Amino acid sequence: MADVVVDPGATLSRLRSQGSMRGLSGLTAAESRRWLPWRALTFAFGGLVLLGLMYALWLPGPDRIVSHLVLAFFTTWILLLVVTTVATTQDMVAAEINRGTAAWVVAKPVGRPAFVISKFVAMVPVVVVAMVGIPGVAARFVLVAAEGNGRTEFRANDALMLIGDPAGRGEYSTVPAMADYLGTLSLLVMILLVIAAAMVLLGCVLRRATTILAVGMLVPVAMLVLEPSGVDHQIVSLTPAWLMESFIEGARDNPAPVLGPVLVGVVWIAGLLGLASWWFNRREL
Amino acid sequence: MTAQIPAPAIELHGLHKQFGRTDALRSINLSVPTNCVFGFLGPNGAGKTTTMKILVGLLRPTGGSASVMGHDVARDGLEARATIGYLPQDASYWRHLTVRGVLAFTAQRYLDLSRRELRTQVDEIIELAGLGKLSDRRVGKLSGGERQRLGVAEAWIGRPDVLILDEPSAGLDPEGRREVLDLLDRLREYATIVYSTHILDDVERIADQMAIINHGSIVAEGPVDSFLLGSNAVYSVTVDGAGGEAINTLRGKPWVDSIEQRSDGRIEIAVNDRKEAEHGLLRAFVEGGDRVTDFRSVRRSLEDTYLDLVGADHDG
Repeated sequence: MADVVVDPGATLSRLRSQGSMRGLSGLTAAESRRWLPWRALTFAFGGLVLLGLMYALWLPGPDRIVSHLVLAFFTTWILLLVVTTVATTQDMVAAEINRGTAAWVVAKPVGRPAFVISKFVAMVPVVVVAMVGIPGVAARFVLVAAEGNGRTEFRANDALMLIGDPAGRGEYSTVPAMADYLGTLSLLVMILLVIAAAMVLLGCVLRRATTILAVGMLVPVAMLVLEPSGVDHQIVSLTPAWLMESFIEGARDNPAPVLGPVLVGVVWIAGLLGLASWWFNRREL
Repeated sequence: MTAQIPAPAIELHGLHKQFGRTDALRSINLSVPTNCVFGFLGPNGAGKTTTMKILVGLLRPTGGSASVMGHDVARDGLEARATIGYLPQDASYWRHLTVRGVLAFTAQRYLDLSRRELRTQVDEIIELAGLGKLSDRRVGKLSGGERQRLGVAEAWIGRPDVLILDEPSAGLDPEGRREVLDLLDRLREYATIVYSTHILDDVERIADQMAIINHGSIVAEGPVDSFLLGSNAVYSVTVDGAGGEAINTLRGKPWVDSIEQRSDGRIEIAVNDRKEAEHGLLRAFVEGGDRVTDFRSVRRSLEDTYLDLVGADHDG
């Protein structure tokens, strides 16, 4: 071993020392470095490839109706986003607990809530930018280009198969205005973030990855079926199912509230993360 | 003017831990002085890891209290943990990271430093741990001893006052153990080091103080020397002649446990009272008419003491 010339007592800085969420910024930064470089690129690239593929398949079609492209892309993309969100977040907490790295982290002077919340916070830019933002905005430009390139007649039967009645939009559909489009994308962001928050909670409560995955898959299903199952709308509007309902309406280019569902989504995310933090805080590792 | 006695680095008062109906710790009391190397000895399942996990906040005590550098680990956990560097028994790392990568990743999480300062500090820790030549090697390619040194180096990030190391030398070959013990020896002047082990030789080699835990109870604690030089002792006597009369006399003494005549002519006498033995042994031989040609105390090994306290039924 080499001779030591340093005096650790004189040269090493002390640990970060701030507030009750101690360690959140450092943990989030470290967590982001794990996510951002390659997963974000994968999501953004995957979304763009899917979009390009759909457009390329649509272009030579004999019946180039824009609604076909819109429906095909959005249903495939959203389904993939929901499934990948569940799949990629199922191991965020549980795997770290099982591997022992969670114990190693929280043995440091960081708050346990900071550990849990950093997982979610690191996920936010990935969802907003890579999963929804880049492919979503790119999709708008592609759809606008397609609109000038193909027919815009809307066949109600096609839409009914996938997202239901176009609700009085007649037989003509265009790509929504930018503001409406962004509003719809923000609803999608919130849906994914609610799912991610639920996955963080499940990771704190459950131990087995397969159980977390199975229960996690029920979350988007529950959001999707709550209103059609006949539950009163007043009740639905207190749940993240309102986000899903509003998003579907927006995707159908129907007027749909954005702010209300987003606020409900924020409250649910806060609640889910609070519960996750409380559970993880009392869990022995 | 009264002398100030430094507060202990670690204090346990009636610390109790139950898992279901099993008592993992049974109201243990323990005090670890500051700036010492403390060996925490005991067989597998005795309660060493449980105690350490309570100290770093991974487990909650069922009863009693524990404090590190004056901070109660239950009430003031963050402050307590700010003084601790911890190496778990089964430390796991992201195997794709390099040695430097692991240390930088940890330092970035907890230290508030610029990129340049961070690099300097990581370099210093690498040098301190003797990992210079391995700094760009992936963790997956390290030997057991190298990985444990990395673990100690990582625990040292932030310059804690107390290093808590759970079996840092378990499962290592002699060279790996030596490297880890050398590193601990190097760090001893900067921090209180508490390490658990069931390797008695490690304790004998670098610890100043030690405690033995068995079935969740502390069965002995104190300076290592007191274990090596306890009231129990073995004396070796060589005499011209058979020494028969002296042996008969000694067999009747309450402070003599056993007498064994070796094939090389030595007589080994195990006693339970060192003071009495030092007065009475030589006298017995002289009064028996024997000429004593050699008389010495046989150094009692830590293993003897350990087995006395813990019992020979354990693998430790």
